[in-house]
This record gives sequence, C-alpha cells and structure tokens, in this order.
Amino acid sequence: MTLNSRLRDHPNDLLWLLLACLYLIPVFIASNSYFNLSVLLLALFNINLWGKMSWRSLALFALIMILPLLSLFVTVLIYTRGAQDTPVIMNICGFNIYRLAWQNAIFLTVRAGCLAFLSFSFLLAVHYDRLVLSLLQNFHLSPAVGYALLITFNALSYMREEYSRIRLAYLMRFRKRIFPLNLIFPILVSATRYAHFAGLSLECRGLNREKTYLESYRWQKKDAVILLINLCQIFSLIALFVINEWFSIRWQ
Amino acid sequence: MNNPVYNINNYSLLYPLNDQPILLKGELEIREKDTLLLSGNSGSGKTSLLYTLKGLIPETIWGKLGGTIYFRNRNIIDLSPLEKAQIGLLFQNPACQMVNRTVRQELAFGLENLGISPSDIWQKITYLAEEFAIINLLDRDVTRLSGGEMQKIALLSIMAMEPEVYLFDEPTAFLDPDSARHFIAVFQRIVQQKTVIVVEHNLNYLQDYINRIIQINEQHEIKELDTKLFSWHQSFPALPAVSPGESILKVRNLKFGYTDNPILFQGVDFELREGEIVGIVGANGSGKTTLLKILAGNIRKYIGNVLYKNTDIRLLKPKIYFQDISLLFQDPANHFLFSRVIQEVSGRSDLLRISGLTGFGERNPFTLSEGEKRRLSLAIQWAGNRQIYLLDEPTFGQDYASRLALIDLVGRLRQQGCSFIIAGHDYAFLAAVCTRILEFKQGTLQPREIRQ
Repeated sequence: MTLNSRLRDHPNDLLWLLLACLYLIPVFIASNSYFNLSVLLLALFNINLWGKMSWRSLALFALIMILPLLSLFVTVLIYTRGAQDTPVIMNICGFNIYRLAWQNAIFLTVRAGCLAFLSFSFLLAVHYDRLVLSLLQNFHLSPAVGYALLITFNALSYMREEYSRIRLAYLMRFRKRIFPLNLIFPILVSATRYAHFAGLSLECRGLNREKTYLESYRWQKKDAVILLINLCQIFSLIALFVINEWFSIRWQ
Repeated sequence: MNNPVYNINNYSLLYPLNDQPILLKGELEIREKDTLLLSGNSGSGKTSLLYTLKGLIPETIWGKLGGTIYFRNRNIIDLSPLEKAQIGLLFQNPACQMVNRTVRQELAFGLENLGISPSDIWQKITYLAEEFAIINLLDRDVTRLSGGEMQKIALLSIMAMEPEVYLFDEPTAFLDPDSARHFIAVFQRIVQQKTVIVVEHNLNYLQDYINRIIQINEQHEIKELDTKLFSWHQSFPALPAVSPGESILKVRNLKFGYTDNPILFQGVDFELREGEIVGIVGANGSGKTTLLKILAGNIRKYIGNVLYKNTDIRLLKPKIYFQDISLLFQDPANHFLFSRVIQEVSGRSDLLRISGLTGFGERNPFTLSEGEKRRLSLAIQWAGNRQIYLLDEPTFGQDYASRLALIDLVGRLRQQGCSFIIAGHDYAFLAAVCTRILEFKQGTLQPREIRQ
C-alpha cells in the first residue's frame, strides 16, 4: 500500500467546486421546473455516491429556507406583470390566482430553491482544509495565503469558544442576557492575540519555503473519471428533456 | 568545553509605545548541550528574550534591540530563514500555534517546510506517535483537543523538526504531572545532544535535567545559580485549617460525555461545604474543566443532579444562581470588559489594595502581568460578593510570588465564608490551599490524600 493510498480515499475537493458549477449552470439556464428538480436530485445522488454529506444539516437548511422561499412564491404570485390577462385558475380567500402568476411563482421558487440547495449541498461536501491544500498543490497558491486561510478556519472555532467564555463571564458578573457593545473589546483583543501567535507559529516553522506535502491532493485520474461521469449524466438529462419537449410539441 | 551557541551581551529591548525597556545587564554564553533554566519574576523579559533568541525580534515582532546577541558567532538579526529554522520555539499558549486541521497535518507541517519527503515524514510521525502514545490522536481535529493534548502536539511538532536549539516557554504548563514527567524523560532521551533553554514555573519536573540556571534578578542582572543549591521544590504555606460549615453544593451521580467520548465521567458524587476548598486533579482530558462548566450552569445536558442549597441548578434562573457562584477561566483576560482596572472592580479601591493592585487603577487590564491579571479577575468576582468560586487552572502562567499572592487572596475570601473548587495540575499549590483533593481516575472522581 502506498503512502498516498493510505491517506487519500476521497475525491479531490476541487472536484466539488467544478461539479457545483456543472450543476448550477443548467439550472440557471433551464426554464423547466422538472428539469431543475431532476438536476438537484442527480447532484444529491452523486454527492452521496462519491463523497459524504450531512443529511441533518441539509434538513436544517431546508427548514431555514421555507420562509424565504414562501415569501418569494407569494411575492411573485401577487406582482407578476401582465398576469391579469391570463385566466384565473383558482380563488383563495377572495384573491384571484392567475395562470401566469402561478406558473412564474412555481418556476422561480423551484429555481431559487434548487440553486440554494445545490450550493449548500456542495458546500457540505467540501472539506475546507482539503480544498485549501488542493489549491496549494494544484494551482501553486502562495503558502502564506493558503495557511492564512487554514488558520482563519481554526480561528473561527477558537473564537467561538472564546466568545462563549466571555459571554458567560459577562452573564455571571452582571446577570444580564443582553450584551453591551464593550463585550466586543475582549473578543477583539483575543482575536488579535490569536492572529499574532498564529502568524509567529507559521514563521517559526519556516513557512514560505519550497515545501513538500505529506498528503497529496493533486488532481488524479480518478477525479477526472468522476467529472466525466457527471458530465455524461448531465448531458443525458438535458438530452432527455430536449427530446421530451420535442415529442410533446410534435404530438400537439 | 562545548562550543558556544549564543553570546548575549547587555541585551535591551524596547517595544513600540512603551517607555520601559527590558534590560539584561551582563554577559551570558550558552553552549552546546546546555539545558538551561531561565528564571526570573513575571515581567522580567524571559519570553521576550526567547523571541529574540529565535530571531523574531525585530523582523517579525517590532522592537528596538540594544546590546549584542550572537548565534554561532553571527549576529541574530542577520540570520537567514534557513538558519532560524535550526532554532525551535514553543509558545506559552498552544491553542494559538495550531495551523492545520488534524494532528497528523500539524506534526507534518514543519517537516514539509523543510522539504522532507512524504515517506520520511510518515516514518517520523509514526515514531513520535508511538513514543509519546498519541496514535489515537493523529486523525483528530486540533480544535477538539484538550489543553494538555494541544501542548503535547505543539511540543512534538517542534521536536519533529529536530532543531539544534530548543526554546521552551512553559512547556509543561498544561500537562498533568504524569504526562509532564513522561514527556520530559522521553524528550531528554531524544534531545540529549541539543541545547535547550526553558522558561518554566513548575520546577519539580526539571531538577534531573537542568545543568545550568540563569536568573534575571530585580536589578535586571544576569546571574548564574548553582543547580545544587537551587530550591527546586516550591513549597507554599498551607492555609490554616477551619471547620467547614453546612453543605451548599451537592453533586449526585453525575454522568457526562461528548459525541466522540460518550462517557467522559460517571458516578461523580461529592459535596462542597461553606468555607471549604476542594481541589480537582486528573490527567489531561479527564473532565476537570467540563465538571466546572457543569457546576457553573454552562453545560445543562447531563445525567444526575447538581444541587445548590438543595435545588437543582437547572431549575434556578441564571440571575439567581450567578449571584452566588462564579467560574474563573484559565485565561483571566476573558473577564475584562473595561479599559481601566478601577472600572473592572466597580470603583472599589479597597479590593485593589487587598489584591495587591494598588497604583494600577488607571492601567488597562490587558497590559497587566499574568499574576496581576489573575488577581484582578478574582477581585472582579469579589466585588460581586460570591459564595462559591470555581477556578480553572488558576496558577497557569503564574510565578512563585504570584502564586503566594493568590494563596493569600484565596485565604482572605475563605475567611469570609466563601468556598472554592479549584481544578488544576499544580499539586503543590492545591496541597497548600485545599481542604481535600479529588482526582479523576478512569472516569470517576475519587478522594486523594493531601501530601505537602
């Protein structure tokens, strides 16, 4: 077993970025809600086939998205220009729903939902550290920039801990749940201190020199094959919908 | 005689926006294979000297250097990055040193920068992981490590680079006694041919390994002390015994775990009485800080009960509970909210006097020394007249004098009927102040005998 195969059992994280573009572009262009939903389902299937995604986080995201999507739906339903020239298809509490407004509302809501879910699903699949290492190794991103990014991600977790400690200290001291603006002061001091020492740590361990990498995140044949398979699937889906459209026009 | 590594002559350093320079009068030669302890009071400039010896000042950290410092007969400020890589520096706070996501990446990072091949890095990491029993940590997220585990990883990541010189700023501050002893023993075996300069307040572990002691005295003079005459074992005057009052805090059959460690501890049972000081010790990651967080009401999902004056703390409103209880974090700066010391203690200059902070009222709390910060954090809580104080590693970063002052402060508070639960690794300090000590062993809390 080679060193790399012991460490690398997952696709390159750059692949997820490419796939995200591959799936998002057709949804932007398409004017068919069924097609958009199919692309979303295909993307979810592939993410789970080649990588890992937290369904729990996705479900939470869905809950958060209900309100904005509903608002979008209602807004389009009310304000679609020229909708009054089309037939009324239903009446809800004395409010007429016109065919054009209904179609537009469904289409735009599905499209917005699909774009949001696609973006979020790929975000869940990407490991930020592996993505940065991949950019460092494949695109010669400057180590100073790459490791500054990695430190920032670590700092987020550290600062969350610091914030919870400072918040608790405030709560214990003043017994108030509303936090004043000067609570930002110790957090800023803490963040500055963290950045200072993390920078020193990079310097002390000789960053910015020609370096090797224990874990290789170089683009491999396996990644190209996965990209190709996804490309084929997307084009097959597009072809399926184009043929279906063509047939439905002919039958009419 | 071994070759000299460092030559220091009348060193001085002035940080920007500071009118008090750090001074070291005299000459100091540090030679190959020296294992040198740098001793001195808080604020005497030990950490700054380590930064200078690493070559961080003035290039990376701004400051005006005076005098001369030579590393292998070359001025320290003329060293190339490659030469500086021969000097390994460990900072005081390991959490700020973590650059990568996993422990394995963190250990590999320095070696990658040296251009070592992946297979050699792999071998070296495997060797260190086996030697220091951290194989189970290799794939763990660095942000999920306990303070002690982080310190081990920070130390190992420097050791992996095999520098010529090791500069250590409190290397055992976060380690439990067993880990500290084990670490120093293995470390000594691996680096016995190297030069080591240590700044450390926990001297108990170092006696067998240090061959030179350099003290920076109050006149800023460098003095070499005899290792045989040096008092290695710091003892503290024990607080006078008092008979504890009624039970105020009861912990009943407490069980808690995290997602990746479902049973951190279980069956934890103990009581805290009025005027009692209970010490909590245990290995790194055994659950000391977690227990304090539970007692402070910061963690509410656990099995069992914590009763304050016979009421479950989960039923008490924070407004009521926090009138009587206070948790002091490891980093005292977490408690500071204002830009003047006097504001922090609600204008009570009597508290500043008792805490040994007279004359500091107009200072910014963040500019105080570590010892002063700790005393101020305690004074802040004192201003609120609390009944129970929970202290998490209160002696971290404190020199001997600061610890003595802390003991005095704890004693004064206890005279007023306050109770303490103190978690930490500083057994000498705990033995002096505590009425009893409990130890986390295999997931349970057991009584431990107090020996001075």
